[in-house]
Parts: sequence; structure tokens; C-alpha cells
Amino acid sequence: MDRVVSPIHDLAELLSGRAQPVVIPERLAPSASYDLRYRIAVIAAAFEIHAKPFGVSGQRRISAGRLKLLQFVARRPWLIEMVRDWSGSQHDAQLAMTASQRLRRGFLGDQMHEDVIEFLVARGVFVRLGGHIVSDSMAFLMQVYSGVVDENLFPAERDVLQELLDVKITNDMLEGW
Amino acid sequence: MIRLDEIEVRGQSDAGPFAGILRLAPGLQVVSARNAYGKSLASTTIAWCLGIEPVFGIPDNEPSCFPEAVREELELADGSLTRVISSECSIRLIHQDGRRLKLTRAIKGDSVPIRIEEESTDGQNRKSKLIARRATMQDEHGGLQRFLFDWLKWPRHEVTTFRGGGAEIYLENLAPAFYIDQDEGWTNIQALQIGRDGQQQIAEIAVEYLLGAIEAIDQRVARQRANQTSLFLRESARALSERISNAFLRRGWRVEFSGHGSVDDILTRWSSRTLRALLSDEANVDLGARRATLNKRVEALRRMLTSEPIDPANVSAPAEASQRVIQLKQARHTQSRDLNTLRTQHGQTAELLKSLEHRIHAASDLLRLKTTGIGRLDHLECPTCHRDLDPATFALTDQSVASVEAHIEALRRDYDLMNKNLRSFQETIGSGNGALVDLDVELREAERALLTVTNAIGTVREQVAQTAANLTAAEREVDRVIETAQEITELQEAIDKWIRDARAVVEQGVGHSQDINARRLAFLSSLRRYLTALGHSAIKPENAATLHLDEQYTPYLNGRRLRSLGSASDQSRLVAAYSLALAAASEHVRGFHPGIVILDEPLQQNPDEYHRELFLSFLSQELARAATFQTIIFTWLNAGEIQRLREQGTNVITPDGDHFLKLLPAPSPDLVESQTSSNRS
Repeated sequence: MDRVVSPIHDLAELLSGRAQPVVIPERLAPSASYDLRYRIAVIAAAFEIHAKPFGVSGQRRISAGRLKLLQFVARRPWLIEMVRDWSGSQHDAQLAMTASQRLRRGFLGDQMHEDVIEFLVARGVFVRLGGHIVSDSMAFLMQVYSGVVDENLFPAERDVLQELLDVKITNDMLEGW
Repeated sequence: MIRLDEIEVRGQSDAGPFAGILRLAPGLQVVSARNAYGKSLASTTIAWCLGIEPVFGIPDNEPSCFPEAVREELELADGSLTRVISSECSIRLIHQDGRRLKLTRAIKGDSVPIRIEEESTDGQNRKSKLIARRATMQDEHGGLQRFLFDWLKWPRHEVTTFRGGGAEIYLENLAPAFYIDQDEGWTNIQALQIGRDGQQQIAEIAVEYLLGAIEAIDQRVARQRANQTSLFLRESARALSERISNAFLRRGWRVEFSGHGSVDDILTRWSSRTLRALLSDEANVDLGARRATLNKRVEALRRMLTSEPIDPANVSAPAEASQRVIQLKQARHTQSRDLNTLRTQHGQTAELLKSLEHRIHAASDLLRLKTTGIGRLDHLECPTCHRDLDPATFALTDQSVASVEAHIEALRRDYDLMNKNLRSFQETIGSGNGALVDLDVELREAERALLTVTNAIGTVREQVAQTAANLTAAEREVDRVIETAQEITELQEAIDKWIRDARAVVEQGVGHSQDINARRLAFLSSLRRYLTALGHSAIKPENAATLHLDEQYTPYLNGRRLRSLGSASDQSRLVAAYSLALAAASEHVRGFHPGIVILDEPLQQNPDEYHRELFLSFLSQELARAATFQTIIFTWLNAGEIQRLREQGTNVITPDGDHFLKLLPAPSPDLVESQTSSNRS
């Protein structure tokens, strides 16, 4: 079942004891955030801007957790300050924990990102290598990213990704508890 | 009308004096000479002597529009170069009434002044020196353009600028319609038009001026001024409404007083009721009634304090004063808490708006992404299980364009709603702050009263102290009401003044000139004739009648701009036809065209044979040859073409030699001596 429609059906089931919910999913206008191509475009931008060279065959790689955080913040530019504060508070474990609660809960629970990565792995765009994601076929990602840049699409997302280059993201930040 | 009689360039070089002279005839003439002869030098001389060099995009008095031959090094007949020491040029104009004028300006040397030699119809000569560029129109005694407009008997006219002020129509604004320069002039109609003086719609005004449609210019300027005034009125209405809304919110009154909309809308709205009526209707505020009530209370308290008996057994004064302070403190606390909640909600709403704004941008970009096809996913099957690698298999969705559009629409609705909420929060916070200030004032007064009452000894003194405090508070309240009423009166006066100004603009209106119609029609019919004669490929005898001019005098054919029709080489035909038609129409309707059209190198715009043939055929036609205005065409024709044109009666001037500028023979020593002695005497 569609990721957008499913929670509505759940809600309808909950209400069904007292009310008679009528669900017409055709009239729903789901958020762009649930669109596959939007997510691919943001992942391509995050990968192109943040991935490091790997191996001798021109491949590049990035930590899976880092990519998940980067794409999550890129889609919510107003969170950049929170990430900065969180990064800045890494020397203090207690402060780091309180500063990051909401953000950490959000990005770790981003299941759709995992699905998109699985999809791209299945299509041969990425390869999983331990905790890292390695580009298998760079052509597709580069084509998407250069198309996005040429058409000046998603400038806010790209700006945030550029700004995140200056923010130190530690392994502690990427792990859940 | 005038005509150009002579163009002359002369100077001094290391090799001796040099000069070049070109004599011109009335009507159509083709000056034919090879490349690098100096045709452009002759053509530039005209613009330079008229002081209109800004059309070349260069600073005032800057002779860089001239070739190096007159500025740095002159090429001699044997091909060697000689240094130019000084140079100057002149043109001679002849007015149709017989007056003559010679304008001389230095090229290498002091190019600021222009020497003028006037010759009146009775043969009297007058020499003077004018300033070419600085305050050229404004300087009554030294301005060249002021003199030229007078000499030509052309009216001077002020038009509006983008900066809101006024500026005159200068010769450099009119010249692009009759002076077509080789480098840039052929790129578009009036391509050399300049915008540095900031006149609004100057290209249209130039056409109207040349056609003599001064009334139309007046109305155009009136419309521009009305638009500027309307803009100013709308801005001042917005500022005034903001001032009034702030004054209301300061006092805790949430009353809508909008300054948005057109001048007519605001005028109707603001004229419909006064501020006092608005306050009474929308916020139940009647300052007159409030003042009367307070005055009665002041009178009653004063009577209690001065003449009425006091009950010594009444012990309620301290309790009443204390109770009031408690009530006010509670009210203040409630107000403060509500404001705090509102501020939090305001902050969250602002944050939500920011997020919505981002989401709208992201969704709009996604829509573009989908329409451009970036990242489109091809059909692919799993190499192992041969199942389709469809997004749905991974619980993913590729949304349709319609779905994204619906989402954008929904986001926009949310955005508008949240924006309204934000404004509402701002207003509520504003009025809440005003109410809090009032409560603070009341609380301070109540606390002072409580202190006085508790310090008083005996019930009588307690009652007197409380009555006195109440009287003081009531009198202060009266003062505040008076002050508010005064402010409302001042604001109402500002509104009344705005209404008066707006009414004056609305009632003034701008008429429509009938005079322009005939002039415009003459121009249009000339343009049709010249376009057909020049062989514009989009204009045929059967469709020429559908050619029309829009409000900007841009030619249109069948709803499309003529510039975009036909072949690339038609561009130069359009420019030539436009300039020639304007001169012909101006002559017909007695406009203010100088009667000279200069076309520099029309054949270089497209050197193919067909283009040359079309142009030569035009020059042979009656329309070109019979025109009474002067047409000077600088170009190069081969011997066969020259012969053909001459046989058909077209005047072709073929200057001697390889170069326009030639070294002059040195004067004999006897002649120099005799000139020196005559100068001494």
C-alpha cells in the first residue's frame, strides 16, 4: 500500500468504531517529500557534494548514516542551525544529547530514505560496503546532479549541503541509541 | 527643413596641413567610395559638429568616435604615416528660408567649444562660440542645442524622467531616427537612442516630435505625470494607513484601516466615513462621550472632596484601594501571560511560514524537474529474479505532474492562511501591548493611591485621600482622552489632505489627442510605401494595408512584430524604410524633422547580390529620387552600378583620390608673409 495512504487507512480504522470514515486517496495531494525523483535529486546532490574518492576506478563513497543526515537536513533548511549547535556541543555528552533529541528522532526514523537507497542499490546506482555507500554507476548520479544545477533546481537544498561542508559531523551524531 | 551643404575636415600634421571636403546636393545622393576612403569620417563629422556624440555611447567631448587618421596618424598617399598635430571639422547647413550656418569643432584640440558662423538671408554674418555639451540646452547664451533649436525654429519641450524629475528632448534623442550609423544604427529602429538622461518613452516621444505632434507629447507627459502622482499617492496612502493602524493598536483598538488598492478604491473607502465614525462603528470607541463621562466623574469627585459631608464611620477606603491594586495586578498578569502565548504562537507561525515557503519552492522545482525529464527512471528488471525494479516494489511513489500541482496548490492555500494568521497575531500582540501599557499606568496610579490611603490617619483622612487620588486619576484620564482626540484629529487632517490630492488627480484626467491620428496615418502610409519599395520580403502589395503601428510606433504585421518577420537582411530594409518614411511623413504633416536622412553603409549589412540589387532598384525608383528631403547614402558601388544609377537620374558622388584627407600644398613664403603683416596691422 502507498506510504501516504497507509496512515490514513490506519486512522480510518481507529475512527471506525464511532464514525464512518470515507477514504478517497485519489483526491490526496501528497507532499513532494514523498516523491521518488525529488528524493533521488537530493541524494544525488548530497552525494556529489559530500562523497569522497574511493578506490582506483574513480568511485566515491560516503557513510550511509552521514548521507541520511545530510539529505534530511537538506530538505529542511531551517534545521541547519540546530545541526551546527549539535555539532558544536559534541565535547559535552549531556548537552549533545539534549540538543539533538528532535533532529535525531527525525532523521533516524526516515524510512523512506532507506527505501530509496535500497531501490538505487537494486538498480546498480549504489553498492553497500559495510557502513558505507559506494557509487557503482556514477553516470546516473552525475547526470541528475548536473541537470539540477543547470536548471537551477532546489537551490535551497544545495545551499544547505554546501554549508554542511563546514559542519563537523561525528560518528556519535550518526548513531542512534 | 534644412539640408547639409558641405562636410569638411582639416588639420595640421608633421608633413604639413591636410584637408578633405565633401560638397553635397539637395535630395537623394549616393556618396560612393572604396573602403577606408574616409566615408565614416565624413559621416561621424556630422554627429560631432551637431554635438550629439553620446549616440555613439561615448562620454561628452570625447573624439574616440573618429578614426585614428584625424586623431593620431594620417596615412599619406604613398602609404607612409605622419603624426597629426591638430585637427578640426565643420559642416555647413542651409535652411529652406536661405539662412546658412557653419559649425566647426576641434577633433584633436579643445573639443568643448563649437565655432558658429551664421549667415542671414540679407547676407549679414555673425560669428560666435558655443559650448557643445555642458548645459547645452539650459545655457541661454552658450548652449549649442539651445541655439540650434532656435535656429531651426523648433520648440523646446520638457518630458518626465524615470527619476521623477523633468528633462528636455535633446537633439541626440531625435537623431537616431534620421542618422543611421554604420556600426550600430542598423541593428534596430532608433538603435542609437540614448537613455542616460532617463526620459520616459523617449523613442516614442522622438517619433511624435519629428512628426510635429506636440499635443500628443503633452498628453503622453501628462499621463506619465499622472502615473507618477498616482504611485506617490498609493505609497503615501500605505504609509498613512500604517501610521493610523499603529496609533490604534497602541491604544488596544483593532480596527482595519487599509491603504491598499488603486487610488480610486482608497479614495472611495476613505471618503465614506471619518476616523471617529470608524472607531465608533468598529471598536465602539466614542471619545466625545468618554470625555463627557469623565468630566462628570471629575465634577462629582471634586464635589465629594470640597463640599459634601464625610461619614467618619466609613472604614472601606483602604480595602477599596487595596482591592483595586489586586484586580489590576491580576489583569496585568493575565494580559502578560496571554501576550507571552501569542508571541510563542507568532514565532511558531513565522517558522511554519518559512517551512511552507521552502516546501512550495521544492514542489515547484520538482514540477520543473518532472517536465524537464532530469533523473527519469528507465524500465529495468532484476538480473537475478527478472522481476521489474518498479518503485512500487520498494513502497516508493513517482508522483504525477497533476499530483504535484495539486500539492503546490494546497501549500499555497496553507501559506495564505498562515500569512493571515501571522498578521492577525501581529495585530493582537500590538493591541495587547497597548493594553498592557494602559494597565501599567493604571496600576501605578492605584498603588500610589493605596500608599496615600494607608498612610492617612483616621477614617476621614482615608476617605479624603482616596477621593483625591481618584480625582487625580480621573483628571489624568481626561488628559489622555484629549491627547488621543487631538491625535485622531491630526490623522483625520492627513486623510483629508490625501483625499483632496487624490480627487484633484482623478478629476484632472488626461484627454486623447486627435491631432496625432492624421500624423500617425501619414507616417504609416509612408512606411508601407518605403517598405514595399525597399523590397521587404514580408510586405507584399496585398498585405501592406494590414501593417500597423502600435502605441510605441513599432510596426506590426498580422499581429506579429515586423522585425521578427522576413529574412535577416530585411532588418536593414526596415531600419531604412522607417527613417525615410518618418522624414517623408514629417514633410507632409509639417513636423519638426530636419529634412536630412543619413544612411551609412546600408549595403554592408548584407553584401549578397540580391540585397544590392534590391537597394539599387529602390534608388532608381521615383519614390527615392522625388523625395524633397535630403538623403545621403555612404556606400561603395562598382562602375556598372554607378553608371546604371546615373542613367536613371540618381545623383552619385564619387570623390577623387584614395583618401578623403589629403595633404595640402604648402603656401608660398610670400603669401605667408603678407598674411602675417595683415594680421599685425
